[in-house]
Amino acid sequence: MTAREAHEALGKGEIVLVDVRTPMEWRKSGIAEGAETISLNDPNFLARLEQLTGGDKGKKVAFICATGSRTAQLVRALKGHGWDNIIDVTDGMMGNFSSPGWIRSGLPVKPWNG
Amino acid sequence: MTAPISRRGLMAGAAALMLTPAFALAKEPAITVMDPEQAHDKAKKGEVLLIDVRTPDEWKETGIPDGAHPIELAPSFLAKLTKLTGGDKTRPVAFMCATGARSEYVARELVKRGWTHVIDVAGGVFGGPKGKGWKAEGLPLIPYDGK
Repeated sequence: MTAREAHEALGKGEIVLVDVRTPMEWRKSGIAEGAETISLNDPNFLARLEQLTGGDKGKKVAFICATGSRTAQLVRALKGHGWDNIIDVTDGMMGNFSSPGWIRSGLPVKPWNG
Repeated sequence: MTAPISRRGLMAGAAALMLTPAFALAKEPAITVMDPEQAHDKAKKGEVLLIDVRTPDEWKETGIPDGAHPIELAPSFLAKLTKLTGGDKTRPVAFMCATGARSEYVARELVKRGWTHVIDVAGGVFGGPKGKGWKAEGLPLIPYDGK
């Protein structure tokens, strides 16, 4: 799913969007409007994710990072462990070699100040 | 049949495997992680081509690391890099961004594409999981005029 598609799905209430970057990255770029923040660097990442989903592994959770690199690995790691409907936002917040990403797509961003 | 998964098991798989930059980079032996001071020194001597992959807004906000060329991480990136290097994939190229996430992505993608001397500048401008960054080391930033 691209950032633009994630924005549409989020608007329809079809997904939960989780930004897995570091607090420094959230602060520097801001975060997607409507996104939750759970850093992959947080040792309690999985517990926080379970808290967010109420333990429902079938929930449609879309993960976003900077370029789609970390979320691709995360989705690979979680799938096969019961998290069957999770989604990788492939172009991330900052984009990559193939797609512009959330910010350059002109999608709404809100500041994050911890 | 789904293998049972313990929290510890997942964290071992997900966290330790994915989240430790050193491990992630160990899978890509061709990527060198270099601290900003050394990257600055080598860029000034012309030994490496230093590229700032952030956005024009970010260049304006902080200026550009002394000795770095700005090329925004966007679909046009590879064409611009190829133009700058004359397509020489053996040329040492060092990438930096704000915290080290985008630069690591670019470094991995270039290794996949056959570049042989690829460097990820630890911690970028502001610092991150790999290092404290260019600014904290007191290295110079050159104002970017937005041209």
